Amino acid sequence: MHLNGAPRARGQATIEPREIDTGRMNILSRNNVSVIGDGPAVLLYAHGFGCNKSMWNQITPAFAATHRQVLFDYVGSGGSDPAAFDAQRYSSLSGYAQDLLEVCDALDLHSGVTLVAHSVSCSIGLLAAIQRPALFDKLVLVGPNPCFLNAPPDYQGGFEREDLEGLLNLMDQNYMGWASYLAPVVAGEDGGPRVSGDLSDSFCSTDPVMARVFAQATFFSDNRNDLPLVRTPALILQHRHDTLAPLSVGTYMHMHLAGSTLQVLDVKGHCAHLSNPQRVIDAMRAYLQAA
Amino acid sequence: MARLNHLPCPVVVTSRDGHTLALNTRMLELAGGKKTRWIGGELDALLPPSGRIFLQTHVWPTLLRDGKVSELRLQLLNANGDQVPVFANCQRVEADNEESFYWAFFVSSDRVRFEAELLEAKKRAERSALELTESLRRQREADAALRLSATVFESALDAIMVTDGNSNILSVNPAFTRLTGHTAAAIVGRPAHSLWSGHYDTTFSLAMSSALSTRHGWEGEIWIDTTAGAHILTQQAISFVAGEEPAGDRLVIVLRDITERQQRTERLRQQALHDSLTSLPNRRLLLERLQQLLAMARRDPRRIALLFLDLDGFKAVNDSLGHDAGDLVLQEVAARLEMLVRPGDTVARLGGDEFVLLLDHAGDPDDVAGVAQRIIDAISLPINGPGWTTQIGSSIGIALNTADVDAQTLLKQADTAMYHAKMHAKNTYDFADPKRQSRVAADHLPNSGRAQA
Repeated sequence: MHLNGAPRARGQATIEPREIDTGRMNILSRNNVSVIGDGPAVLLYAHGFGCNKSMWNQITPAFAATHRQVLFDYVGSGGSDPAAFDAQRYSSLSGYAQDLLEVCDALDLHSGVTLVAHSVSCSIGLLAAIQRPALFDKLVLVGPNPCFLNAPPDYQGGFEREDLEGLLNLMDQNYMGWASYLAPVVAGEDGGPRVSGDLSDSFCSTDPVMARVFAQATFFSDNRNDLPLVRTPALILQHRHDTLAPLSVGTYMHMHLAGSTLQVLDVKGHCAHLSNPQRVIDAMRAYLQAA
Repeated sequence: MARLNHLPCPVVVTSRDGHTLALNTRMLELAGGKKTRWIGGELDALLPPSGRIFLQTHVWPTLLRDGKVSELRLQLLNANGDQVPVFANCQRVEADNEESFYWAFFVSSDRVRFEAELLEAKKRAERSALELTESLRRQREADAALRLSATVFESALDAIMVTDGNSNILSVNPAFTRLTGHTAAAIVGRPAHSLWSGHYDTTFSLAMSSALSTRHGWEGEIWIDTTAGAHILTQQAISFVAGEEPAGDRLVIVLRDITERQQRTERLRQQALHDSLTSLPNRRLLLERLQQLLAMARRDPRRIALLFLDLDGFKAVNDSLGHDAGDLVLQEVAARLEMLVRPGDTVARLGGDEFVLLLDHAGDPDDVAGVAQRIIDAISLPINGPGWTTQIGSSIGIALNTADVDAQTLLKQADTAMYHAKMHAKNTYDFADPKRQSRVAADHLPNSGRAQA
């Protein structure tokens, strides 16, 4: 399933530069990477669970003139290569962090990157920043939640385990009709239909099995202990009324993330970059210029 | 907003951030409470927690990007806090510079139940498909077994005939045709017992009807005639194969040609009961036939005569002319004896120069004495061999059957009589005397190697 780990053709192995190029091309194609603009500063956008890179479409125009903007889909989401899916790797958030870092490597990004992450990608971005501190200048975290499960008495992530089981059931029901597309893709047969195209009209996730794996990685992870390890400055954009990331969680993040800034947006819901993009743009701009 | 109340399904209108702007009476009926409780609140409040996550992670992003979503499966909370399955459609509407989102819900309890039933039906179908696959597999195995059976049937060395429950022939294999000359085309449909004429077909018919009535097998040997006119002995095994209904009963008859084996056995039997030099019956066969005749005589009184013959001067021939000449003399004696008796009588050689004649319906003792005298005369005639001529004599003891005499006793009586004859004079005969018998027996029987002539 994980084609990247598969041995390459011997003929290519003798010519090193091409070998590297091929690897990069593989990553860029695997993660459906797109790059907008050519500024010296880089904005790297990481979408959340259930979404894809198109969710940033209302934000990117605002920075087109000033930044080189990189967008990508995690494997299992959007227009990523379904053949690259590896249930083992993507059952934990570190697998997604690996995707993020590999995209940076493929683009020769080694420093000066500002990560703009939404929801679960905030945790993924934190893992990446811990692993590669030099790569990131700043983090912009939209609706972060390091642990969606309640951990009484000190932490209210917002949900009980059975709520998350209910979510998986709901996903199964809503993805039900698509299951038939899955078999050839999971089987890795050449020429099998690419699921992403068929689903773009419905949801932003790629297919039920991969979405389920992502859902479990997202909602059953607890990254609270990772927060003190982060050294990169972060802007926390907290929605005022957010079921998935309540105000108390934003406060918790701010408390445990050294050098962080907490900004509460007067927004209901979990997707300010979609519902109130201008507020997000303004907040980002202010934060980027302040440094 | 009053128009919303005419709609037959629950409807909610929200802002782009999920603020509830309006809801119709159907929605109120479902959710319970007063309208004021909901207006200004969040759409999330109408959903259980799992639905809220799905709304935030899947529905809103898509809705904000595309302006609509359709046929989502969600759950709404009713007034009792129970989850009600619904299909949700939402459409963004822009009017008078105001953007709002119209959510229409279709309660799908029935449909969800139908889907559950469909799912169950699908599982049943999958199980059935599995069973069908299994059944097909068994069918394939059965077909393979059938093909194997057909191959065995076609290529078996043994002749095989299959009949229905009425003994009518259904099929025969190539070996059957090779053995009997009957081709399948010529005999299929005919009654099996009609194939073989003669008295043996009765045995076969009985064997078949016995197999059918007892539903057991039968094994035995039956002579049959081939189309070429040969008379062959077959070993037959008739097996009963029960059908699912009586009309489906079958008899499987396997035939093996054992004519040669029978002939071989017959030859061995012949060798066991005959003297190899003269081909005359030996002592064992003589006693068998004697016992047989004595048994018949007890049911149907008749005179049986036993003539015990011992050559005189035979040892001298052997010593002077050699064993080959001796053998030739014995064969010549055998031939002359056979010429003197009737077809039903027996001439046996007991060994050495001892012969016995067994005469059925022997007539008066005088008649028997006549036979004895003719024998003595015939044997005394010269015997010619290659380059030699010789002459020998013979002594004969005659024993006639009495009411309860057994074969061994009668033979001893004749033997004793012969001994007395030889004592008296060469080339004579003597009748056995039962009283003398016991005396002689006491004197001579332990010395069975008794005097050579």
